[in-house]
Amino acid sequence: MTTQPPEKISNTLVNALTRLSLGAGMRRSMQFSRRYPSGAFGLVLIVAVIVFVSTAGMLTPFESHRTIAPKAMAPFSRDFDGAMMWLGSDELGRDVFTRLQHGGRTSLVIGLLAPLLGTAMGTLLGIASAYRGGVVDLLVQRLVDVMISLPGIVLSMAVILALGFSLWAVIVALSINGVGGAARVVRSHALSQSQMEYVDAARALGASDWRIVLKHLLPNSMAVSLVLFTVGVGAAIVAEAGLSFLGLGVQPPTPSWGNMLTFAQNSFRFGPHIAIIPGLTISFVVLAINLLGDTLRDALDPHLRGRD
Amino acid sequence: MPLLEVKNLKTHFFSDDAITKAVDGVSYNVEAGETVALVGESGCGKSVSSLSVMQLIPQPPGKIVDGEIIFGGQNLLELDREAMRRKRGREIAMIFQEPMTSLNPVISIETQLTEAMTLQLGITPKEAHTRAVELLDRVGIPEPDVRIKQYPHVFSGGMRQRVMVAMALSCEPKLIIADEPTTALDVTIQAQILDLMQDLAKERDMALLIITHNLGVVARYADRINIMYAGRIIERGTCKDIFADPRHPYTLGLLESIPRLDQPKGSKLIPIQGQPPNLSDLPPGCSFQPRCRFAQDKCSVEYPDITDLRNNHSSACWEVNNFKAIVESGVSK
Ligand SMILES: Nc1ncnc2c1ncn2[C@@H]1O[C@H](COP(=O)(O)OP(=O)(O)OP(=O)(O)O)[C@@H](O)[C@H]1O
Ligand SMILES: [Mg+2]
Repeated sequence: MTTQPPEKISNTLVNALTRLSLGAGMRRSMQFSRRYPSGAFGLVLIVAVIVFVSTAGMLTPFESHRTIAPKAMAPFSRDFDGAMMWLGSDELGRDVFTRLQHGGRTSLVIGLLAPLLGTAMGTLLGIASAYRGGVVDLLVQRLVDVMISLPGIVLSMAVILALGFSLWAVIVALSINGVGGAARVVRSHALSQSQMEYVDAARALGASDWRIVLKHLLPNSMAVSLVLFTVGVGAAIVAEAGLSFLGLGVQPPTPSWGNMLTFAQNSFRFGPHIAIIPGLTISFVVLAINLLGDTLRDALDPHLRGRD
Repeated sequence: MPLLEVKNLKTHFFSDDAITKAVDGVSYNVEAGETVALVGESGCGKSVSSLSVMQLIPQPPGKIVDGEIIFGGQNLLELDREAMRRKRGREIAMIFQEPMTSLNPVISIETQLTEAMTLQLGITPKEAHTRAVELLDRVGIPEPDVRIKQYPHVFSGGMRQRVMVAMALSCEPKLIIADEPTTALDVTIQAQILDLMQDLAKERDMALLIITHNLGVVARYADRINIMYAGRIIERGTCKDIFADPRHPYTLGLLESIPRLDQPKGSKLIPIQGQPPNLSDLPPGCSFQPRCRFAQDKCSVEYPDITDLRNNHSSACWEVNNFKAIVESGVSK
């Protein structure tokens, strides 16, 4: 009798489960998680985080900016009225769990939108620069030189001072940080792509410049841009904290993961959880985004997508 | 009136310290429905001359400095960018040398094949899909309805070139320019692709301009042959004229350097001596003169005009008329 290799058995199991599962959507997500387990894990984490921040105010009886307990109480201690604080209180005696939920809203919006905007701008600049060449390329690259050589925080400060204080100003300010790097990396990629014969072949079939940029060069640089985006998420969440610290970011008492981390530094010795909790949360989100980003990148690459 | 008439075309590349005369006064015709070959050594300007017809020369550094490209009675060089763009694919299509890089790796075959049709013919994506499947079938891709969904990397070089042929055919152009369409493929596949192109061209009454460095390749397919050397046409004629009665020492050299069935078994192939000239620093007089075994004094002074012998068989050699005698005396020497 032949024994079946274990992976074969588990495959049949998964197949059976897949067939049993209800609906095409279910089947597709099963397929996705079987092919990309780490991506599926990342996706689950991100969904969990989104659920976490969108239930702010529903799970705890506290308000994010009200002092309700002695400062720097450890997790699972109780407030003045005897209510449970799962994650303890912070350096001003506010509930950390509630602040984490509320702060996550700001941090996620900033952490996702700023790099999205930044990479998108950088990608377009990079492709335009590579494809147009000549004077356009020269001008864009000198602009990029300036952007890269200035410290990010200085640029961001300038943008916020110009736009005035608002969440949007912070997003735009932080997106600028990623533009230069993205433009440079994407340009060099697009430059090698635009030398490929398929660009000439497309032009020989009557494609316009716009079409070549949007239909040929942009899809080709998606993998690169996606990696730049995932790297940008963590950087943006942390950079927002830097701006808060200078009084230019999200202003206290409105919480963000970044400013929770920043203001925890004075109480680190007697209440390390105040810093560790937002710190771990940021790492967690960055990890999830990276897992998902890697998977998307693979899924975008026909060589790795498998033959369907 | 010929379908395509290239008249005294000059395309030069300008760099800081030199002007490369990649194409320097080239004239040739392609009649509707016929197959014409443009043959010459690597670097002689074949690709530049065909890209000039499509106006796909990188500009700068390149520039079409003189000449006319008359296609269907219209000088393409006088069209604006948009009008020229609409001619590409729709009236003149092109097949490139490298099947491995001439398809976009991240876009499915279907999208690449239907793109030109929806763009240039204004048909719906659904109609385009149906036509694309038919085209793939016609160019010999098995299971076209399945394979059309795939990406280029699962296709072999020969299959990719078939896809390129399908793309070139997709808008039913009147002329297909094939720039070394089979150089990157192995010999059996070469013949298959060329046969396919020939059949399709005859079937649809399309003209074919085949560019190659291999005179042997075109012998079976071309109605007429233009031999190019250092940016100029040095001899042209029907396939029969060129093979049976070459009137230029360069053509003779090319013929002597390919294996032929009508030669005795032991006879050696004779390579052409020397190197092609630098196109940014051409010698005075005939550009083939430094490599020519029959060169005379006047060859290094003045460039011979291309002269017509008969029936459009022409050659740019001072000794066109008594070329045979010269060759025989040269051989006996
Ligand atoms: N973009 C360019 N910039 C500068 N010079 C160029 C450019 N493209 C072509 N040339 C010059 O034009 C000349 C002719 O090139 P072309 O590509 O037409 O040769 P070819 O006959 O097609 O050769 P091959 O058989 O190798 O394809 C070359 O000497 C090359 O140096
Ligand atoms: Mg070439």
